[in-house]
Amino acid sequence: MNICEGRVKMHSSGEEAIEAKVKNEGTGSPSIPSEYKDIIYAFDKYEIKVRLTPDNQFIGIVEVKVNKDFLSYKQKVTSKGFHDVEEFYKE
Amino acid sequence: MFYEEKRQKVLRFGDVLQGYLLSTPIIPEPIVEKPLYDCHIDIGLPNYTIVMDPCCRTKHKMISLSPLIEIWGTFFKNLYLAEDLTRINREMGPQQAVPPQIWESFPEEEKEKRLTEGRVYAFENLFIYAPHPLLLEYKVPRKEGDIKTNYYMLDFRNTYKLRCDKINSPTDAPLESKILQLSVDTRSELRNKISTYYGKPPLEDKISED
Repeated sequence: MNICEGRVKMHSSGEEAIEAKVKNEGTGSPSIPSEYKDIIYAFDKYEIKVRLTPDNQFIGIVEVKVNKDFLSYKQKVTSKGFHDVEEFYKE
Repeated sequence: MFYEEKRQKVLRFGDVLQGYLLSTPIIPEPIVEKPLYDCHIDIGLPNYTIVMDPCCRTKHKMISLSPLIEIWGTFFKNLYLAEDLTRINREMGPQQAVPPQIWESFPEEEKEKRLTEGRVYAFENLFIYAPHPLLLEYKVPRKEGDIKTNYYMLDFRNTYKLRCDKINSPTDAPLESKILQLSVDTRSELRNKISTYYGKPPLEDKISED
């Protein structure tokens, strides 16, 4: 089984970096606890699936993929204006 | 299909109801540190009210409603809208959002500015309800001549709270008051438009975040 190990660095300059490496595990490896949870973290244009223990201890990065929708929620909201037309419908 | 053919026995977001009061408190100014104050409360019984609670959130003897109100006669100045007023519920191009003579009157700079907006909503606080035999026809006064219609609209700004002893949950409620239910697609359009309406950050917040 392949799992990824990695971390996300947040620099004070505002720059961010992702470090991830694939780790090969032999068949039957007991390295993954039987109980864990995966959460998806939206990071710039990437979606990072992070594996945590039940008490939220970081285990590793399971998957990094490009978010096909490049716009964040904030970008989607802010990019949508309204047609300001009400004044043209006053009697 | 704007409405479901068969109503489910549950109160859902966007349902059309009958029999619920509308009340509006009116104050001349904010009441700050005044032991006595004047106020009026307008109470009326709208023909129709709309469930404004998200699906399955109606409970505890309380419901959020908004009255269905009459449409503006001036919508018919715009042929694109006049063909189907429910187009107001969806995004449209800038040229479709105004009557043609208004568009032609815009300076080129204004046209360009509006064209860069692309397809977005017009009348951001309004949602049109399509005609249905169960909705009463009424006359819309217009300079060009009155029009009979049974289109109605919802103004998100009119939403209010009402308490009713019989409302315990979406299914344990006076379901006989429900007369129409939106189709899944229409309810999705309503959800999208109201989300965009409330989700739009003001310009000054956008500037401070940048």
